[in-house]
Amino acid sequence: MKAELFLAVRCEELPARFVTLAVEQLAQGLQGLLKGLDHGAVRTWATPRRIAVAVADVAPARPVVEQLVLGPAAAAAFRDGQPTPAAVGFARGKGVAVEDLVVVDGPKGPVIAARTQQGGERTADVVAAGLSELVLGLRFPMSMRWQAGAARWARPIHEVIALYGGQRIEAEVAGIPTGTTTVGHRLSPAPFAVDSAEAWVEGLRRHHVEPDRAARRARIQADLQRAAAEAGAVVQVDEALLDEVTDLVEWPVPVLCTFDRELLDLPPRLLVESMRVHQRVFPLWQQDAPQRLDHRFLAVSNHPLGRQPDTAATIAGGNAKVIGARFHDARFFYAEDRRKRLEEHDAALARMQWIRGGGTMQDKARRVSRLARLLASDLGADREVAERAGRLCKADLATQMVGEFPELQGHVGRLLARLDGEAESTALAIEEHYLPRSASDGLPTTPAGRALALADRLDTLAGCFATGIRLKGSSDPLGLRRAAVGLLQLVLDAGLRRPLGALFDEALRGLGDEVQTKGSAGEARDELVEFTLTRLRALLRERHDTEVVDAVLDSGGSRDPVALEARVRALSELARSADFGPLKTTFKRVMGLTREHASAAYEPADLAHPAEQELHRALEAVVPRARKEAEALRYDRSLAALAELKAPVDALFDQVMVMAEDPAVRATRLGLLRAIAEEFRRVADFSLLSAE
Amino acid sequence: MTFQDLILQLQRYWGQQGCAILQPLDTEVGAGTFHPATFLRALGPKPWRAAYVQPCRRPGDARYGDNPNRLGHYYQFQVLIKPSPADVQELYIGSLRAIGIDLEKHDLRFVEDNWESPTLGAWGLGWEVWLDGMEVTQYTYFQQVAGYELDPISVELTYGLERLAMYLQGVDSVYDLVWVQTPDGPLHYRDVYHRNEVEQSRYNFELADTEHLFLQFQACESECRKLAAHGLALPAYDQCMKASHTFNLLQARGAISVAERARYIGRVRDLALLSARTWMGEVPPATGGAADEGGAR
Repeated sequence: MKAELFLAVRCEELPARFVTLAVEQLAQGLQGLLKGLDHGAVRTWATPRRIAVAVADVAPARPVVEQLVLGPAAAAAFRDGQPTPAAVGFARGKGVAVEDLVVVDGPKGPVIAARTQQGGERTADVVAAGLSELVLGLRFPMSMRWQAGAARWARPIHEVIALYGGQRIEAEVAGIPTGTTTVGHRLSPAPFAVDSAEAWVEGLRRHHVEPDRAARRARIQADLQRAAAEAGAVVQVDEALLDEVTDLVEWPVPVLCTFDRELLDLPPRLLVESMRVHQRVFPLWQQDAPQRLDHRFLAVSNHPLGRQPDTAATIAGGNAKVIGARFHDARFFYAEDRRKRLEEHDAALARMQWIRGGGTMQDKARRVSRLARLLASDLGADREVAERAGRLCKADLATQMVGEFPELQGHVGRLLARLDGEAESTALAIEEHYLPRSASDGLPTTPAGRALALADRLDTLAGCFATGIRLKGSSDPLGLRRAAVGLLQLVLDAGLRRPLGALFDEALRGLGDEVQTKGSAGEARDELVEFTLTRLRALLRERHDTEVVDAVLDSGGSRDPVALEARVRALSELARSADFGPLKTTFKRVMGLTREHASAAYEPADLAHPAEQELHRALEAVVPRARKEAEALRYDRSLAALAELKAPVDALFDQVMVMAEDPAVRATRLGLLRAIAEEFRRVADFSLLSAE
Repeated sequence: MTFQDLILQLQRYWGQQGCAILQPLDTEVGAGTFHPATFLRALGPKPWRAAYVQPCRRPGDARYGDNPNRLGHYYQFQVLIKPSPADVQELYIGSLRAIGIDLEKHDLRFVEDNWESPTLGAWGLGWEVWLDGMEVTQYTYFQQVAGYELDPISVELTYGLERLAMYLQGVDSVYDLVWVQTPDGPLHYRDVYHRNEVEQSRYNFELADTEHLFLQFQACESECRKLAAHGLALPAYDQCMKASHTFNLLQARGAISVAERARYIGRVRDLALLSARTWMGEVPPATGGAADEGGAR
C-alpha cells in the first residue's frame, strides 16, 4: 500500500535568508534518500520556525531485484566435489550458503555464481536510517552548536516529526527522538497531534501559523495593498523586502504606523532606505502625488491579534518610536551638516586618513580632481565641472549624516552641493562617482560623473600599488579587484582609447609627497597593467571563448582595453564562420614557422620565385587597408583583408620549400612570412588557437 | 515600572532560574561581555549561570547630555548560562513577562544577528530580539571565545536597560526615565546621570590627554604580559580591559586613524587571548626573574 511520507523539523528562528535554502535542501535530500522507491508529488512548507516536506504515495518498500553474481572459476571452486576455501569465501562474501552456489558459463568458461537479492528495504527503515544525516546534513552559510551537543545547524532544533502512512518512524536527530505532536505560534502554545501533512498544516493554521511560504507571501502582499488603500496611500512592494519579511513571521498582520510629518523634509532616499534596511517596514506614498512620501508606513507584525485596536496601537507605537528616534537623529545631523558648505566639510578630510601611507582623504580628492580634469575632454565632460566635482566628491564623508548612514555617501554630497548652489552637473557627478558599486551595478549617467568615477578608481589602484599593497589570496579589503573591474567597465563603455599603461602613468604622476611610495613608479605601473589585464581577461571570458580571448590578449602589443575588446569581438565572430577552419590552419602554420625567426625584414629584389613575388604584392596591397580598418576599430574588416592572403600563402607553401637549404633564400622567405605573422599579431596570435 | 524596579525584577527572575546574581565589575568596560563572569567563564567545561548589571562606557557615543537616545555611559543587564539550556528561548520570554511585557499585546520577533568581537577573539550566532520593532535584547549562542571553540556552548542575553525602560515608561528621552519614586516625587535618570554625560563628554572629546593615554596603553600592555607570565590570569585580564578602554578613549579623541585602528584592536586581542590562555592554565607560570624580564620587553 502506497502511503504519505511526512517530515517536519521545528527549530528556533532561522535567519530569514536561510528559510528557503533549508527546505529546498531537505526536499532534495529526502528524494535522494527515497531513491528506488516509487513515489508521487513532493510538497514543501517553510516558516522561520519550521520546515517540512511531504511525499505522496511512497511505495512501502524498494522492489526486490534478483542478481546473479559471478565468482571464481568452477574448476578452482570445487575439488573432488568438495568446496575449496575460494568457494567458501565467495559464498560468505555474498551472504549465501555454499550449497546454494550454482555453476554457470562465464566469459572464460564455467564459473560459480551466487543468486543474491537486492532491494526490499522498507520505506520506514530507509528513512529511519537516513534521517539524522539528512537533517543534520543541510548546509547553511553559517552554522552553530548548542547545549553540550556536537550537532551543527543554523539554529537549535527542537522537534522532528517523521511519519510514514501516519505512523511514527522511530529515529533520533541531534539527540531528539522523533515525535508526533507539534506546537503553533508562541501565543498558542498547546501541543496538538500530527498524523499526516494535512493534520500538520490544518493544525498550524488553527494555531496561527501559515506554513505555506507562497501563501504567506501572497497574503502579505495583498494585506499591504489593502492596508495602504484603507489608509488612502500607495505602497510599492519591494520584492526583496517582501521575501525577507515573509521569512521573519509565521502569521503576518500588517500594522499602520506613523511618524512626525515634519520629518518628511529629510531626503526621501534616507527615509526610504532607513525604513527598508534598518526596520524592514514598507514606506507609503501619497495617493494624489505618488512621487511623494507619506508620513506613514506599514510594519508586518507576527501577531495574531495585530488587528485588534489596542494591540495594533501598541505595536504601531513601538515601531513609530524606533523610526522616529532614528529620523530625529538624522534630522539633527542633517541640520548640523547643512550649516557648513561642502567646502568646509572638506576641511575635515585633512584629518581623515585614506590608507596608511596614502595621505588623507583631502589629498585623495585633490588627486581625483586633477585626474578628472585631464580625462574630462576625452569623456565629453566639462573640465571645470570635473575638476570642481572632484574637489568636493569626498567632502560628505565628513558629515554626520554619512557617519550615521554610510549607504548615503555621495547622495548627501549631491544634496549639500545643490544647497550650496553648485551646478547641477557638479552635484550629480559627486553622487555618481561611486558607480559602479559592483560588477552588475549601473554606470554614471553624466560625462562628468564618468570622468570622476574613472579618476577615483585609477587613483585608488595607483595609490595602493605605489604604497606596496598587493593582493594575496582571495581577500581584498580595499576592493581593488572591484576598482579594476569598474575602471574597465567605464573605459569600455566610454570607448576611451588610452593604453592602460598611459592611464596608470598619469595616475602615478599625480601621487604627491603625501604618498609613501615603495619601489619605482615603472614597476608599479607594470604590475597595475598586469593586474587590470587579468580582470579584463576574466571579464571577456564571461562573454567569449577562452581560447579567442587568450589569442588576443597574449599576442603582445597595445594594452588599450577598447581595442582589445574590439579584437576579441572580431575574432569571436570570425571563429563562428565556416571559413575559419582552413584560414586558421594556414596562418597557424605561418606563425609556427616564424616563431624563431624574429626579423620581418627582406629585400623584395631577392624574391626569385613567382609565388614569393605574388605573395609580396598581395601583402603590399593588403597591409594599408588592414591597418586603416584596425585604426578605426573595424577589426572584422581588418581580418577580412588579411584573410585575402590565404590563397597566395597556400600557393607559396605548395610551390616552394620555405626551409630552403640556402640560408639566404631561407631568410628571405621567413622574413616575408614573418611580416605576415606580425600583421596578424596586431589582432591575435593564431598559433595559440587549437587545431581543428 | 521604575528603572530600578526593572533591574530588581530581572535580578529576581534570573536568580529564580538559578543564576548567581553578581555585582558590576569595578573596571571600565565597553560591554557586559568583558566581565570575567562572561568572557572567562564561557571557557572550559564547567557549568556556569550568572546574571548581573554592568555599567558600560562607550566614550565615542557620548553626546554632552544632548541626545535623548545616546549615552557615553549606560547599563546592560547580562545573563550567561553554560551549557545553553534547551528551553532558553522560553526562559527569555519568561523574563519579559516578569518585567510586565504581556505578549498578548506586543509583537515579538527574532531577527538574525551574528555577533562578533574582534577584540575578544569571539563570535556567536543569534538574534536581535525585536519588541514592537524595537531591539531590546542581544541574544547570542557563543561559538568561540578568545579563539577557543567552546564546548559546551554558552548563551548570552544582553538587555539594553535604558531602552527597555524608556519603552515601558513611554518616555522619549532617557533623561525622563523615572529611576525611583521618592517621598519628594520622582527621581529621574537626569538627576542621576545628566551631569556625568556632560562632563565625561568634555573629557572624552576635548580634554583627554592623548599622549598620556598612549603611554597608559603601553603600560597596560606590558603589565598584562608580565602578570600572565606569573600565571595570574585575572590581574592580567584587568590590564587587558584597561587597555581596551584606553583605546576607546583614544578613538573618541580621534587620535587613531582608520588604518591604525585595526592594529590597536589586534594588540588588545593579543592581551585578551593571553589572559584567556592563562586562565585555562595553558601559559606556564615562569619563575620570578625571567618573567619580569619578559614583562619588560
